[in-house]
Amino acid sequence: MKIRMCLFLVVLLIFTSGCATSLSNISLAKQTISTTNESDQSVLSSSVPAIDSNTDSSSSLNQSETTKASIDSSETEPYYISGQFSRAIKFETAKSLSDAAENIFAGRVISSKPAFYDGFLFTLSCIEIERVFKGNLNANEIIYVGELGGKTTYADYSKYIPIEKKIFEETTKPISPDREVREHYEGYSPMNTGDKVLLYVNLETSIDINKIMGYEKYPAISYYIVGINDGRLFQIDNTTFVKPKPSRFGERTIESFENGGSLTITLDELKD
Amino acid sequence: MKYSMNLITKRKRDTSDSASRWGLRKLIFILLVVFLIFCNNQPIKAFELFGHRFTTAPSILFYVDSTAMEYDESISYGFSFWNGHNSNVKIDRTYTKSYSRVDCYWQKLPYAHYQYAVTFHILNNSRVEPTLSDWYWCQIYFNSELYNYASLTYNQRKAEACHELGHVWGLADDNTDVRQIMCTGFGRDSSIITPQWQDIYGLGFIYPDINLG
Repeated sequence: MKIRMCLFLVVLLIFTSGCATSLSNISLAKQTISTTNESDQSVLSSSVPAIDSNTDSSSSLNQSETTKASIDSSETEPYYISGQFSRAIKFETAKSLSDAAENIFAGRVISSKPAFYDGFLFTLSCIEIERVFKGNLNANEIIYVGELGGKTTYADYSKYIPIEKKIFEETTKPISPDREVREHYEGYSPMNTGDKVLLYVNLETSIDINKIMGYEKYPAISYYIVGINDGRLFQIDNTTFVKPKPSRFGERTIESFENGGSLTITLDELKD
Repeated sequence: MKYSMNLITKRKRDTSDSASRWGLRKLIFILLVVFLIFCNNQPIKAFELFGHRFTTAPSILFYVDSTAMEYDESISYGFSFWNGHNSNVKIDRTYTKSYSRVDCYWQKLPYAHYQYAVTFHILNNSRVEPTLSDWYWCQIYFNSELYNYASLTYNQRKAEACHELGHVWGLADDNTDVRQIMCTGFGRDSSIITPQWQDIYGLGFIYPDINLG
């Protein structure tokens, strides 16, 4: 009888502790819940904040309907925006990227500038090619590569992407025109000046240059990256290129390159 | 004497039966313990969220822009799949844009060749980061390069519309299970065109269904 009781108690203990674990797992289930104050974009720092496992998601999710969000409490911090993609294809290996790309090369970003296209912010980067692995491009040639997202000022963002006012919306505090806007997709942001990159690109033929705004002397020829962020790797040493892991706000941090990031490609693989 | 011997034999048999029954029970208990340990240590991950949501109760209206009128039916049908799963969540159509909480467009996305659509969340006349802020309404841009008759079947177009509306509610992409609508297009089981239990569970987590307690 004593043994039965002991067994029963053991089972009960395990069950109750297990339930607690499960409940915490449910509440944290793959969430990207901010530990910060509701709707406060100002809490961001340039690094990716850790997710507090003690966060009670309901604190942000169960806000009352009358929540008045103030999205501009600090003008010094970047204002983050992200778009949610639904992808048709993903390139997860060097082989799949190579098969889909007409051009593969290593190069250096000379400049990166924002531009706007029919409701979208994108970045056009000027790249100096250093080494060609596939295609008709040549070393020392300069080409332009476009990517969705980027950095701009709130004044330009709101000028070229005007958002109409809905009758149910309330504007609290206006955002400063000088405030920096950073837009990212899937946890990745475009290349920056000085980046050394390995790119898998194809010629962009479907852009209507007449629709481009906020960019003077737009080049007649530009390229797009295969698989958006898939075909763009960053050089970490003389022989290795890494696609970083996505981060919450698209920032490339040391952590995002750790353990080979999402994909590592070496020069030897490219030569093959 | 014979009677005593029978009694002893019977007692032995009883003891043996009792021991085997007790052994069986022990085995069941041990199996139960192992089962519970296994179950309770597995992370339960059925959905992925942005962590924020509509500022209002999401009984909302959507508007199809003239650019997307060609695909009006697939969009409307795909959206309607979310109705009836949660008493708080409902979507209907409006023809007055200023009342709409979801504006749908169909156009070319610059330098984006592998996307069916993009969703933006909007608060106070500005797009926001949905992991940081609640939102009043959303814009969905269907990519004219892929969201068309040539590239997608009617069911696929409905599924993509349904997926994008999942983002509008506050559900993020989750590719861990291909049999859910919030799995992104490239990985999703082609037979999945409506919200599945994981999606509905996630929706209920964001907007608790009062009718279900």
